Amino acid sequence: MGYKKWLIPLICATPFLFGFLFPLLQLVKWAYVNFSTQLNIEHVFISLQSLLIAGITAVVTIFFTLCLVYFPKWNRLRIIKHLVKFTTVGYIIPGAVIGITLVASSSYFVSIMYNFFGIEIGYLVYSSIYILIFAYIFRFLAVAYNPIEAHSLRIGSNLSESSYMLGKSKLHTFFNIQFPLLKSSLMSGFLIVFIDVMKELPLTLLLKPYNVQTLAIKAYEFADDERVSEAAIPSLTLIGLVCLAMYLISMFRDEKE
Amino acid sequence: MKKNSTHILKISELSKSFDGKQNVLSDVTYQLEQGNICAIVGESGCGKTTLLRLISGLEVSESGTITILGETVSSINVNKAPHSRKVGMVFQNYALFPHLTVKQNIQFGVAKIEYDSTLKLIELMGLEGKEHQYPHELSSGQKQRVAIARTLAVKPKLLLLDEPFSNLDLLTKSSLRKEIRKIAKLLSLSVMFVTHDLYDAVDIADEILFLSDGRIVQECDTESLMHQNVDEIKVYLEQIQEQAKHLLSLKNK
Repeated sequence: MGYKKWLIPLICATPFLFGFLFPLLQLVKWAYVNFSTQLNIEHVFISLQSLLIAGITAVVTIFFTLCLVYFPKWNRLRIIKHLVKFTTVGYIIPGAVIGITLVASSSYFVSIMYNFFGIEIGYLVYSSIYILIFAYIFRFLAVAYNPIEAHSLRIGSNLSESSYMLGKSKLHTFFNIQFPLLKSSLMSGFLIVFIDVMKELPLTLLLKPYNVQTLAIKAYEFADDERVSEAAIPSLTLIGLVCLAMYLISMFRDEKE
Repeated sequence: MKKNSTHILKISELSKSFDGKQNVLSDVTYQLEQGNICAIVGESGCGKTTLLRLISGLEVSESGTITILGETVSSINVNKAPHSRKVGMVFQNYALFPHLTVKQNIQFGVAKIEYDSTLKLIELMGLEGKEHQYPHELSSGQKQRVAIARTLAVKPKLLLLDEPFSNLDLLTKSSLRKEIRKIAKLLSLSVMFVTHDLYDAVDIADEILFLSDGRIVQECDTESLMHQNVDEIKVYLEQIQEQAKHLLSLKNK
């Protein structure tokens, strides 16, 4: 029986040790070596860019998610319900596929706008931050949609109906009843999308404007150039930010429970 | 029914189905006299709650008309919004806003200028001292009182209660039954409530509506029902059940 005392914890600890702790220690060792050359103003700038892109994307994704959750409830049109189902399939499509198809299909849109209306929108579509954020939103909408939709179903329709019966509009009901009750899942949804965008690589590689850098891209570029040890600082920054976001998610989950 | 009486509610040939499937309500016709309390009695799934939701405007009927205080609020061409029907509804699960205090819940539908009037309601419903508590800190009976007070705060002419006694213990149920009747009479309020317990119906209602399979199978006033002896009531209820079965068999044919 005695062997169980160390075997069971060892089995449970294996994924953590080999998947997180040992690689992390290796990264810390490399970071120590490259500390003086890598931790500079450029790194701070790249970190801020990553945070900003992930933050903006998460906010816009939450906005669209709320539209997808509440518009079908407010309008009893069956077509909206079907549309919602299709809109959230982005998560099952690989990021690279979304990137390629988005650029290809956008070219038709650009030429139609130019040929028929004389409007040049190419600069908005090709290698622009707008198309990158749009692609992220499409890719990660389901990530935010599922927990928020589930929470809104748990809240139920009676609260809104009570509010309507008391003479309040749909918007008033949303901001005064639904929104405060959904706050914890909105925050969780925001942080999950934020983490996913921070880590996303193929989509960013394909669509990012030439002057935009993210931590994930920087780490990839160093590794691709066989300068693996120099990838440690952006990787550790990424891990730190993601861990912070995960800690916040767990705080909001505890609050919800 | 008394002659020359004023009817707060008139329902005529009301039908409802969900997604065009089997009718949940079929040709329901009924009139409620002003100031009266009506109990809708029937087994689960017979359309009791749907009838309340149609009257309140939370559901849209397929055919028929609903008139409240002489104004048509629902017909083929008309569908008035719930809040403009002068109707208040208390849900089976009370639907109290969990992030608002008792006082904030009761004042939710009221303009700031009328906040003082809600203090009287808090007193009337026996909620003094609970104003700053949240719904999760209240018992089921207290939650029910808050839900009723919140609905009464917007001064409805017709109060709809969906299974108001279903989650309550016997003692609370008994006192709340008396209070609802007292308040309704005090405020000259017409009330319609749904129950599957005939005892609730007999205790507070002026008239009882027996619903089965989406149809009204019997309408009677409580007084005449109470004048019958127990055996007669038993026979009466069996007759209603027979009628319901007959209706069902006709429908299945």
